[in-house]
Formats: sequence, C-alpha cells, structure tokens
Amino acid sequence: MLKALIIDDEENSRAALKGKLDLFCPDIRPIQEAGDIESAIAEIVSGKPDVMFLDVKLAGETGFELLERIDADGIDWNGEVIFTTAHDEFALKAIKFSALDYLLKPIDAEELVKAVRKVQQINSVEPKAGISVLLENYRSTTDSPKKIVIPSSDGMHIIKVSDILRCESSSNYTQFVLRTGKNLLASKTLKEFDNMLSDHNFERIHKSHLVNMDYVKRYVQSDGGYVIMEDDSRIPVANRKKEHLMTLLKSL
Amino acid sequence: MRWTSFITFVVLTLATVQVQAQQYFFQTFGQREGIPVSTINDIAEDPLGFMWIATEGGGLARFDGVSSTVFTTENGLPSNYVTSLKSDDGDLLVGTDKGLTAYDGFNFQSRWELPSERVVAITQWNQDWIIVFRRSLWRIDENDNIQRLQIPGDPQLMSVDYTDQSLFIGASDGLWKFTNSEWVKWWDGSNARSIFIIDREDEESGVQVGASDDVYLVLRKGLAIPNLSTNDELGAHPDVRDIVLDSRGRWWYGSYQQGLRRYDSRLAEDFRGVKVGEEEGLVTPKIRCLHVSSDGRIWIGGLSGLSRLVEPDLYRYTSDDGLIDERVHAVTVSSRGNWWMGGLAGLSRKNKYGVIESFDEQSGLPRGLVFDVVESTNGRIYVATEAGLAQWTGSRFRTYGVHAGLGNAFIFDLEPLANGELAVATTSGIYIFADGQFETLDENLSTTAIPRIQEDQNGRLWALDIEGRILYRDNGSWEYAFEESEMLRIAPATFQVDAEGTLWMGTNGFGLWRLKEGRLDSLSSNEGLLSDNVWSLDVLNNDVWIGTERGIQNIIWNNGWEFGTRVSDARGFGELECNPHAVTRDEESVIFGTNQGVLVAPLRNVEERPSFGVIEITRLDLYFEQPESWGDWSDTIKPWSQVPLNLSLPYDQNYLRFSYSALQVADPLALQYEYRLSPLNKEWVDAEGRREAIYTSVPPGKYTFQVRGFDPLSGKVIESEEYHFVIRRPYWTTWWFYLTVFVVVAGSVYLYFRLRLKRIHQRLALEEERNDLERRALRLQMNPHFVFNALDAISGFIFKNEPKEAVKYLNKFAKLMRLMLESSREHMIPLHTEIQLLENYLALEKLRFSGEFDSEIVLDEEIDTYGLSLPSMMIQPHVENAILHGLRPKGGGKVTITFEMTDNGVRCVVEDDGIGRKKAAEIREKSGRKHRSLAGEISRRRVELFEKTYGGRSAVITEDLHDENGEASGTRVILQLPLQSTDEWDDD
Repeated sequence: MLKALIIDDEENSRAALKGKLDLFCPDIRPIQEAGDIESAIAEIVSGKPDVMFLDVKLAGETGFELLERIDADGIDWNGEVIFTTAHDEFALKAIKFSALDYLLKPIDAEELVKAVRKVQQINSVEPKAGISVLLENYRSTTDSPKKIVIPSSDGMHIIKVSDILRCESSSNYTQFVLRTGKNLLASKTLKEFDNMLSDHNFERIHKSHLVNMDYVKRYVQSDGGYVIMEDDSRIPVANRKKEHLMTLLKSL
Repeated sequence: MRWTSFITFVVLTLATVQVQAQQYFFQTFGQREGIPVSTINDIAEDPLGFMWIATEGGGLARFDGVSSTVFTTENGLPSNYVTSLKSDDGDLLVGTDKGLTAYDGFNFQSRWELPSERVVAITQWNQDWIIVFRRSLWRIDENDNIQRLQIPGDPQLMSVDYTDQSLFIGASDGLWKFTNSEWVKWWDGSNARSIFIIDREDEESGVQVGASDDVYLVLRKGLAIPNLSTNDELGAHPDVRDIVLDSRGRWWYGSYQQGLRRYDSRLAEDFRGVKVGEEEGLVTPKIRCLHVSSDGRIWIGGLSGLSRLVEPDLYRYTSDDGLIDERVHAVTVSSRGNWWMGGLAGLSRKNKYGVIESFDEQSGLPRGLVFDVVESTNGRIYVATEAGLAQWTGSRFRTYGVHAGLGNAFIFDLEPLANGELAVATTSGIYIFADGQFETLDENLSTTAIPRIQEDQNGRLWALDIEGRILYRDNGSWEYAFEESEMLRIAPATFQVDAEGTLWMGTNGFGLWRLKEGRLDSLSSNEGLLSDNVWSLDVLNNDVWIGTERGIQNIIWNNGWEFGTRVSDARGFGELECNPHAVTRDEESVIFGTNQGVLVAPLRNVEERPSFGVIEITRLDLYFEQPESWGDWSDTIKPWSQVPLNLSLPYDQNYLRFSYSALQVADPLALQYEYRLSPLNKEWVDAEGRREAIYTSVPPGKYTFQVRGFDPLSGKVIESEEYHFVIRRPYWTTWWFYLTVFVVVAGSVYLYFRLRLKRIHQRLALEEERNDLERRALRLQMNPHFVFNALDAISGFIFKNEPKEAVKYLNKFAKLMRLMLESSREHMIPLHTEIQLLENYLALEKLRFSGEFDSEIVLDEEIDTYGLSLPSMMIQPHVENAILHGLRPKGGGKVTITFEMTDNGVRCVVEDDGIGRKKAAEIREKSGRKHRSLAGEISRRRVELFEKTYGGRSAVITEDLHDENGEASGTRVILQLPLQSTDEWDDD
C-alpha cells in the first residue's frame, strides 16, 4: 500500500484524480488532498505520503515551490513526485531534464496506473537525483537548464549539458559522448534528447547524430560531407542538413 | 608682228571704209539683277566666276549673271563708294573713296596702313601691290612692307600699268615711267586716265594712253601718235577710261564721251577702228570701265549701268544690209575676200569691209535666178544663170550661152578646174568651158541632167546625176562611187569629196552619209541630225556644215558622229531654209545661202579660249533662310559663294533649297537646267527654268546634289561640281539610343516588377503575419491549460456524482470550442458571437475556480451586436489574463467587460480588481519564467496590422489601477478596435 497526496488548487481536479485512483489503483491508500502549499506541507509532515501528485500550477504558487520548501525546511520526506499539469511547456521541460515522472490532465487511467507501478518498483533509498537537478535548474537564473539527468541501465547520471559532445542513436538507446571521453548509454531515444537539447545549441545533423555545435571544429565538404568535432571524431552530415549547417556555422 | 612696222603701214594707208554690218547684242544689268546703283566704277572676276561690280554709292555687288548679292559698309566696307577692284587668286582688293580693303572670300579687312582716300587704281606688279590714290602712290611687297613712291611735281594720279621692268602711271600731266627707282616723264599730256601696254614683256612695244583729247600711242619717250584709226571719219576718241584686249586679239576702248571703239590688233595692214556706240545698241555710252571675263566676253560699266557685249556666233546678211535678193542660191568667197551672193533677182558682192554692192541687168547680168557663182583658178568670177554663163569683167558681166556651144542646156553648177578651165554641169551633161567656148565632156552623158560636179585632189571629176547616182571619171570612163542600188535608195542631193578622198553626201530624206574606203556611215534625224533633208554641205578636215530646209548644223566626224556647238534653229533664227549647194567657207566663216539671206557662222578662232562657263551652287537655304551659322554642321565654307561644304545636317534640318547659277555663260537664263539629288532622284529633274531646287523632308542619308544645264548658245552641257552632304539619323534611330532605351525600359520593367514583387511579398508577409498572429491568438484562446483543466474539472463532477453539472458544463465547453473554432476562421466576427464566447468562457472559468470571482459584460445599448463585426479573438485572452493573473492569486474579485461605440470603431475595456500587473509578474518570476504577456503582445501586433489594413485608430492600452491609498487595485486593458458592418464582410 502506498500513501498518496494530491496537491491541486482546483477542487474538481482533485476530485477527478482521486476518483481515478480509487477506481484504477486500489493499492493507493489512503489518499490525502491539499489545495495549497501550506496544507500540503502539513500533510507531508503528518502523513509522509509515498507518492505525491503535484499540480505544477497552484493558485498564485507553483508545485516547484513546494519541493523547495521541503528541501529548504529540511522536511524528512523520501516519497516520489508525480507532476500533474494540463499543459505547461516550460514546466514540462524542466521535469524532463530531471527525468521525473509527470501526468497530463485530464489524466489518462493507463498512464496513471503505469506511473503508480513505477513508483512501487523504485528503490526508495536511491538518492533523489531528479529533484535536486530540477531544483538546481529551477533556481538557475538562466532560462536553460545546466544539468540533465540521464537515465541509464546503471542508474541516473547527472551531467552538465555543456559536457555533452554529441549523441549517437543506438536503436532505442542513445549513446552520449562526453567531453571527458566517457560514454553513456541512455535508455531514451535520440529523438527525445533532440527535442530536449535542440534549444541548447545541439543540432541533429544526421539521422543518428546529435552534436553540440559548440564543439564542432569545422565542416569538410569531401566524402559526402562531415564535421570534425573537438575530439577529432568525424560525424557525417545528412544531405538535407548541409545547407542548414552551413548557415549555422557561418553565424557562429 | 612688230607694232612699229605695222603702224607705219597704217599711217600710210588711205582707204574708204564703212562699218561692217555686224550685229551687236548688249545685255544690260541693273536694278532688276540687284545691282544697287547704276554708276559702275570697276568690274572684276573672282576665282569661281562671279563678277564683282564696284558701284558709286551702292557698295559692292557680287553678280552671278542673273542676280546679285550686295556688300556694303554693313559688311565691313569702308565706304559704299567703291572705286576700283583688282582680283588675284586668293583676294579681291577693293578700293573705295575712303581707302582700301581686301576681301578673302569671307570677310573684308583692312590690311595695311594706307590713306583713307579715294583709291584711283590698283594693280599687281612683280608680286607687289601698287595702290594708286589721287595724290599718293604706294607699293606693298609680299611681306607687307609698305613703301610710298613719290612722283616729281606731285601731279594728280589717274591710272596705272606696267611692264616687267617698269611701272607706268597716268597722271594729270601725262605719263610717268618708273624704272630702277627712277621716275621719268615719259609723255607730256593731260589727264591720262587709262594706260594699255601693248606687250608687257617688250618695253618697246608701245603704250596706249587714253588722254582727255584722244588715245595716244606712246612709242618711246616723248614720241606719241594720236588716234590709231585708219578710217578718219571716226575722229578722235577722247577721254578713254579703260582699254582692254579680248581673247580674239581685239582692243576695246571705253570712252566716257564716245562709247566703245574696237581695233583688230591682228590686221597689220589695215588698222581700222570700229565704233560701237548708242546706235549699235550700247546703253552705257559713258564708259568708266571695261572688263574681259574669263569666257571672253566684254563687260562695260559706266554712268548708266552695266552691260555685256554678246557677239553673235551666227549672223545674217539680208536685204537690210543691201542684198539684192534674200533668196540666195549661190555664194562664194573670192581670193580678194569678196563675197559673191547670187539670188533670184541678181548678184550682190560684199567686200571685206562689209560694203555690199549689187548687180543686175544694168551690169549686164542676165535676168533670172543665179544658180552658182565661182572663181576660177585664174581669178575670174563666173556666174551660172538661167540664161547661161556670165563672167565678171571688173565692171560688167559678159554672157556666154547658146552661141558659145551651150545650146539649150541649163546650168546647174560650176566647178573651177585646176587647169584654169571651168566644168559646167547642166541639164544636158557636162561641158568644159575654156576660151569662151563650151565643149561637151562626154557625149554619153549628154542626155543626163547633172545638178552637181566637183573635181577632187587627184584631178578626177565627180558628178551627181539627177537620179541620185554619184559617178567619177577615171581614165576617161565613169564609175559608180558605190553600189548603184544603194545610191538610188538614199538619193543623194549633194556631195563633196574632201582632200582625203572621203565622199560626203547629203540626201533627200536619208540624212547625211559618208563613204571612206568602202565603208558607209550615215547620220539621221533620229540620231540628232537637224533634218534628214541635207541640201548643202561643206566639209573641211572632218568639220561638216550642213544646210537643210530647217537651218544649218555643225557636225564633226571623229571616228563617229559628233555634234558641233551651233545649230541655227537654236540661235533664234527660226527655220531658215537653205538652198541646194549654196554654201562656202573662208578662213573665218562658213557661209550659207538661204531663202532669208546669207547665214554666216564664224569659225572659232583656235586661239580663243574655249570657255563654256560653270554652274555654281550659289546658296543653300534651310527652311528658305540662311541659318545663323553653318558652324555646327559644316567645317568648311566655300569662299566667294559662302556655301557650306561637307555639310552634316541633323535629321530635322532637312528642308533644303539649293540656288545655283551658270557663271560665265552668254545667257544664264537661256540655260536648260536639270538637277538631281542622288540617291533620292534616279533621273535628272527638269528645273523648268527655275534656278533653285527645293527638297523637303529629306530622309536621313548620304546625298549628292548636282546641277547641269544645256547651254543652247554654246551647244554644251555644263555641270556643277558634285555637292555632297549628309542628313544624320535622328538620335532615336541610332544604335546607341536603341541600346539606351532598351536598358532604360528593361531597367524600369525590372524595377517595376521588383517593386511589385516586393509589395506582393510585403503583402504576403503581412498576410502571413496576420495569419500567424491569428493562429497564435487562437492558440492563446484555445489555451490547452484552460481546455484540459476545464475537461479535468468536468470529469471531477462525474466522480463527484453530479451528472447534471457535468453535462451542463460539458455543453458549455462544447459551445465554447465551437465558437472559438468558428471565430478563428474569420478575421472579423459579429459582436454578438464575441459576447457569447466570453459568456461561455467565463462560465467555465467560474466552474474551475468554484465561483470565486464575479464577472459582468456591459454593453452599450446602441450597439447592434448582430450588425457589427470586430476582429476575432481579441478579447478573450485579456479576460483570461485578468482571471488567472489578477483574480486567481487574489482568490476572488470581479472582471468587467465593457463595449462602447466610438467614432471609428468599438472600445472594449477589460477591467479587473485583482492583484495588479506588478504582483502578478512577481509570482511568475517565482515560477522561474521571464514574464511575457503573449496576449498583450499578439494583440498589439494584430492591432498594428488592423491599422495598416483597415486604417483608423486601433490600440491596446494596458493601465494599472490604484486605490485611494496608492495600492494596486487591478488592471484595465483598453482595446480600441475597428468595427465594420457585418453585411460587408464576405471575405478578406
């Protein structure tokens, strides 16, 4: 049995999630509700929920603030967080960088069940890498997250975005090549990382390659065209990407 | 000939001389020809052939034979009283009563420092100019060094002439001679107004001096003979102002008192004066100057104008001159120079002085027609008459006829034979007359009529029988000259065998024939012969003169037929009918007997300079006037005529008038002009007497203009020089203009399309932006946050077991979605729709937030919510902003939406009493996001586009509201939007 806390400022929304949990997740008991941060803190302290369904947007506040409060106040709570949101791109991006789980409203029952099952499987002693990265990025003054959590077979890796040299697709996994020379196999597709990193000067120059443009040394036109990275590796460039790449390189 | 020996002879000879009955014709020129004043002081000729006329008071006239151009003080002359002229190749020196000037073909200029006095005479002596003023004499050398020559005693100076060594000056006290810088009084006399050196290369040839009383021949110093005339009755020739020698070797004296007198310098043995005065037609008897022009004609200037002597090159003797009968059938010139002319009524004789005597029965001449008159080789004159042969004994005629052996024969023709005998052609064959007796030459011919006989150089006798056969007698037998049938066909009417043995034949109706070494040549009227009836014929050295029933004609055989210069018909004599065989020639003339007297064609003197004149283009006008300057179009102006050469005219200066004149011809008006502008005219254009050619609208091109004229008086065609000029293409037909136009047009088209494309792109960009903004506005409106939250909220009702509420809100939600989607398709939506949309939206928001806030929509009653449209998707995002960022953080409040009509649209005010923008921004800051009010930005941008598209004023103004304590008390957004009638909205 897992203890759950639903934090949402909309009553109907809370009622909807509670109804769904009741219906589809019989393992979740009891289910507490909170409409704002203060009552949520109180519930966390008193109820020690195993899982927290946290609405990103609260009236005049945000769900991230709650996490900060927990961290700042040193509240001893070791549960999992599942964010809920109707549609908040900014928040979703931050969540994705931290590899935390989230559900989109109106919440799909299957997604809900899957998320809950994941929580049940998680070893609760594992350090909460995700939350720390989320908070770190959230606190950062810049728009772009500095770190990213890469889930891999051997756990969560926190990596500076600027340490990533390039990514290479490897079936459903993505091989990260870091500046340190280390390689990392992430259990997500290249497309997902492309979506996340495209705002951070990463460029998908090939079906299987996502490169950090900061570390592109030069472009060579011969042999069908390739770029030479900082580590002298040669990355082929897809034909339809060449023109785009040229303009990018020129603007650098 | 030595003048001295000849004059001795002249002085000794006494002869009774009468004026020869030669006809003179004077052409006079005056006002009609544009010569301004009738007193003419001097005459000169320029290199082109224009005559320059110095007038007393009217300036200087350039005369082309028909009209004049006058130069006066306005053109730079020192005075209009022009006194003397002298022309050399390049200059015309002009003396006036106020000094000397020089004309170089363009301008008058004073070259030298000389007195501003009346110039009396100008001449050129050994390359030096000699300028004679009344009281001073100047010599100017090639280097323009001026030297004054001083004559002892300071007489009044009047005239000048020179030899190679000496200068002669005529003065008031006689003649002065200047040799080797020394003056010698050569002859004492008075007022030597003219000087004429007989031979400039021979000092001793004598000097003729026109003095106040007579003309003197000064043979040497102090020795002078007055009055050269051998015919005393002419008397003295006082006050001769000018003496000239013409091309035929005759001297002409021009007197201010007695008109013209002429002497023939070649007649050594008989030096007779010929008076040519008013009686002879001279209209300018008070002569001041004479000039022999290059065509050999004598120009006379005087007190009463300008005239020119035209000596006829054909003239006639008629009964007026003393001919006994004008119907002249026989003519011959005796060795004494007498002309014997036989007519119907007798015989006339003209001696070489022109005196005509006539003879008839009273002199013993038989009555009736004279058929022929000849001089036998022993100097006797024989006359063939109807009544036999008459011989002139010196005072009377003695007749030989029937009794002398002629019988009843009728004499047609006489031929003096080399042996002194006379061959007589008669109706009964040929007789030889010798020692007063006729003897038949050949009995075989006694029944044949022979109209003409001739003895050739070899002593053979030629005869023409009445049938037209020509025979010659060779060793006692007669031979045909050529094929008898051919002879019978052409029917010769007369013939002559010349010194070279050529047989020349005139025929009845078959023209002129020639037989030489078996070859026959003929010339007919089709080929230019005056008539095919050639009745008289005279040939010497292939110079053929023929007489026809229509006059005479000169033909020259030069390995082909050529025409000579003279045809009587064209001379104004009309159709003179010539009589058969009645022609002869002496050294000077060919003499024809005609039915209207004797027609004389003087033969050309071989020394005479053949000048047939020139045709000169005298003026070129554009649009009938002279342009101010030709300088833009011509680099060369022809001197003297001032016609521009190498003319290159612009396309619009193409209205041309050429004026032209025949210079140095007898009568410019008589010329038959033709002109041609190649390549515009393929043929010559007959000018029909006009002396100008007008060409209008000449297209661009290269042209050659030329004039030619047939001069009937000389029989020659004279041509002008070719005049070349160009009319340039207008600049818009030149290749560079085409290129420029092409570039400009192409450039314009290019720019136009570029501009248009730019506009289109701009419009497209604008439209795209609008579409983009509308898309974004829609996205804003269809805020997924709201949508999904609303759905989530509705699902809450379901779980709360409140199906009624759930359905109600689902319906509202569905309606809102529909309205939003529909309005997103239009740029403008009816106000009514907008309000519905807002109402549904507000209801759903209230549901989500459990009715925590109030809302109100205030509508101006005047507004026709159905009839008016406003831009879609403008208001709802602001309402959402007000609720989410103003009211929600506060936990309640009210949003008011007001619609008001304005002058040019609708004003919508969205007002809330929430936390205010500042606080809302702080909250967002906490959530880590830079605040960007998308609703405001998109609205503002759209509003800008509305302004661009619809005009008028559109605006989005956001105001912060404050309460009395200055605390933030809400936000007000004012949207000023365009409003249009819904009906008008069909598209865009």
